[in-house]
Amino acid sequence: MEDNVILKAKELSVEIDGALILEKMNLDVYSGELLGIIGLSGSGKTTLLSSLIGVFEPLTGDVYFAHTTKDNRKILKSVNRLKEAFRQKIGFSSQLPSFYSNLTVVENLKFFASFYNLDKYTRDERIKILLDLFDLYLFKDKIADSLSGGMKRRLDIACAMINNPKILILDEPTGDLDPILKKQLWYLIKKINEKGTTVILASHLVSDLELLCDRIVILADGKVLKIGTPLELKSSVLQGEKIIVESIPGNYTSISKEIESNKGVLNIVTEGQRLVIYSKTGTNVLKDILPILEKLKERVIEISMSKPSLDEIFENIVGKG
Amino acid sequence: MLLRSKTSSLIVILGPLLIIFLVGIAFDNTGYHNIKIAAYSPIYSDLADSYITRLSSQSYRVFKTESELVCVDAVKKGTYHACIVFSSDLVVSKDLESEIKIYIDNSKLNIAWIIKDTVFEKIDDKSKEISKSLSDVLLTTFDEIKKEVDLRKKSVVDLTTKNDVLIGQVDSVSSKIENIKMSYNDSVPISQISSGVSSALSGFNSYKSKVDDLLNDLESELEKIGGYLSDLNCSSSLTTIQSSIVSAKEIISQSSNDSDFDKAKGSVERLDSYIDSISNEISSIKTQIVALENSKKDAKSESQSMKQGLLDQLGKIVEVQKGLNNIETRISNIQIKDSDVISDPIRTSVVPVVVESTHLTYLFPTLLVLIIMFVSLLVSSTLVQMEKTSNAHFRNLISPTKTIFFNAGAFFVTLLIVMIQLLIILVITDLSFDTAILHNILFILLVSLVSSTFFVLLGILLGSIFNSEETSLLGTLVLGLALLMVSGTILPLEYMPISVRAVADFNPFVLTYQMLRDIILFRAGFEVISSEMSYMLLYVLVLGITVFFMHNVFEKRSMKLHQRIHIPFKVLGKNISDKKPKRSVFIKQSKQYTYLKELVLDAKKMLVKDNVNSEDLKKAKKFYLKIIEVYDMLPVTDRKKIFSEIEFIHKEISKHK
Repeated sequence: MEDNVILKAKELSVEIDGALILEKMNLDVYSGELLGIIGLSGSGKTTLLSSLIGVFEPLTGDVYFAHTTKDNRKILKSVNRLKEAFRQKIGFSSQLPSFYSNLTVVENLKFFASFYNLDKYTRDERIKILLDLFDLYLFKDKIADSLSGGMKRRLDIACAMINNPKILILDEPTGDLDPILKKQLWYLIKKINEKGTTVILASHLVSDLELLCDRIVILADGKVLKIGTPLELKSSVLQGEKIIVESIPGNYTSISKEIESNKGVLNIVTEGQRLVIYSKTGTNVLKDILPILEKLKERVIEISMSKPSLDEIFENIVGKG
Repeated sequence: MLLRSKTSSLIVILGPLLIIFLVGIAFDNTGYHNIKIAAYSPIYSDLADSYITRLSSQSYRVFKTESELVCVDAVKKGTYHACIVFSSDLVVSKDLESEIKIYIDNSKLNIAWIIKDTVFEKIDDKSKEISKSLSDVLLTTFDEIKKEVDLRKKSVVDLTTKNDVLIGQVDSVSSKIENIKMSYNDSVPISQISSGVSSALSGFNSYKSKVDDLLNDLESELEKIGGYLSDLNCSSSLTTIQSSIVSAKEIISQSSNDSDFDKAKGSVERLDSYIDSISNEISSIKTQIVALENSKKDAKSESQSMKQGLLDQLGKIVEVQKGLNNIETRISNIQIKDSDVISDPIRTSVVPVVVESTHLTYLFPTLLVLIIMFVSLLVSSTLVQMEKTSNAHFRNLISPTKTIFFNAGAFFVTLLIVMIQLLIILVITDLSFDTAILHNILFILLVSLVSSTFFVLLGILLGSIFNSEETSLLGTLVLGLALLMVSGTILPLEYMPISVRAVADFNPFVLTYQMLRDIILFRAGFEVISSEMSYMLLYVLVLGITVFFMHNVFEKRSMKLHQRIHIPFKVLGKNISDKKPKRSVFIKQSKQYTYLKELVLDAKKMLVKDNVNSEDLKKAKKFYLKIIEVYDMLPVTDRKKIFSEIEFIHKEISKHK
């Protein structure tokens, strides 16, 4: 597995304006994987992504890139040392689309292609492929600023991919997009990844990443709290079920006090007009709840039991963190 | 925005203060400083030296130069403000060759007239002194003449008095002479006497001739008689004698009856009477002559007296003459009598070191520098800012291309713009106005290129330092204005203290202006501008190195800025970083966190109610916006502390929405 590492953050600490944003972070990114990074706003996602491409000089530790030497050996070399060579091999799409809004789609692609010493044929071919891939061909001569939000996002990723990168890093790629565009974009990202490009993406839409990513990193306060496949995360963090109760008059404080004594109960939270009970053994807890509701003269509106989603796992982890 | 950016706050607050401070230091005085005047004279006369002494003061320093050419060149170069050339062995004279020439550089529009007036004033002061001394000489002479006149006036009065006496005496003699009766009887018939005498003489002469004729006739008759007597035998002869005697008798009787004789006699008788009357008259005259003799005696005596008087007067007149001679000597001793020379003892002329037809020519170097400086600074800093604030900037930063290439792009684009603009201006100026530019266009373009390079690099540096276009523009303008204020364009450098001016002399604006001025106005060659050019090249080198090495620092800062901008924080689906706060929250940094906590509590109160109505939601949103505004100002550590509570508020608002 170690041989397959394309990017490695080792004991990485990053400080900005005297504040420690990332703290001794260790992270391996494997070649060809689609790695999702989730975390609260301000948890350090963007800093981590920026640090991975060498934007910030680390306070401690470093970020390493799997570099192939002239004699065809694969070694890990600091991205801050490689810098230009490393940047040739990455594509980055930040939260805000990063292109010249007063240039056309093609002009933007041509401009960013000029950074990579591509010959005209290769450049034009790549542009054509990207225009096709991102459904931008019809808009190639449109001024970038006149594109819709989804188009802009697609153009931005297209610009990030103009160098045919080994690693594509996407920071909140679906930030401003509507659900349909989001789906389209997730599909596109998956497609890119399937073509062999390593994709690292950060998002706060945990549920979307659950379906998309091979592995997920949960960040909080500049630290990696959990890392693994969605399944691993689910099983490692919350073993059991989630019971949702909605009743009238909804005296959830009293219900919580009554049910707390059950050993199977892991956590109880009130979410609006509902009571959510996390338990190791859902069936047992459910058995106990019904009499309590009856005792407290609560009229049941809804009661259900299910496995927790990645969203809940995330909340649970971050809440503890 | 301003509160968040230290450099922005700094430039907004300190920029105007910096200008006021600089201008304050530079111009906080009332006089001039270090006005340097070059002087030259082939032979320095005392008068020339006295002018130099007069010109030398604390503010004015006069330096003697080797030649007139050096003196004038020094003004052209700007080493000296004026050049004063005294004619050889300068003296006060009407002579055209004796004059002072003041060479002034009219191209220094804001100081030329001041220098001219001041130098002129000082020279004029000295000239007035000379004029005064010349007038004093005149007045002293007048005074002495007056004394002389006063002294001689007595003699003249005496002369007048004595003259009056003499006039009396003359009158007396005159009346005496008047009294001498010199009349004679006009009735003496002199003409008649004369004609009578003539008549008598004529009568007598006539009578005498007749007598003579008779005597002759008589003689001839007598001879005839004598002949006849010898011929006595002839009775006829007797008869003839008898007849001759009868004829002689007739002749005699005729002569005795002659009227001429009577006339003559009458005339003589009348003459006699005339002579009597003349005799009477003569005796009368004789009497008068006697009287005249007496009068003559009197007159002689009077004349003696008058002679004495006249002799006395002569003495006096001699004295007066002496006095007049004295006055004449004094007047002739006055060397300068010409009124023009006295009123303007030294001819002074002002000669411009450069003769141009319009003021535009004088202004043109300044205009060029202004264009070069402001266009270069503003365009380059704006291009850098546009690049920095462009969405594409982050992609450029993480590209394999080094940031310095983007700066180089901004540099060459600006340089190209400036140079094209200058070329157009130069050609239009040369063709449209009476200002010859194109003859030296290569030099002008070379200087413009070096100067533009400096200002473009400076603009790039400023654009890199500041984080927004507004502050960058403000910073650029502040710097541009500061350079302009201490350039001598608005207020002369001569107003500045020497220490400040020493710095101002190295102002790139001033150096560029000097070079363009030398080239455009004086058609100077490279050797003349080499010193300024060296400084500019040094500046360019230093600034180029600074920009080159600083680009890494600015790149990292841009990265940080990018990171800060993109801290994701959503307000009802919109990125708060893109949203301008409705009003700024001016709270001390130490109290921001406390204030934020209060806001969070207020927002929560609105949202944790059992029935949240639209009014509550509206209030909560308001609090939320304030929260976001303050949150953005907090350090990351504080943000982390309160983030979950804000997240909760956000979720609650979203839910109710």
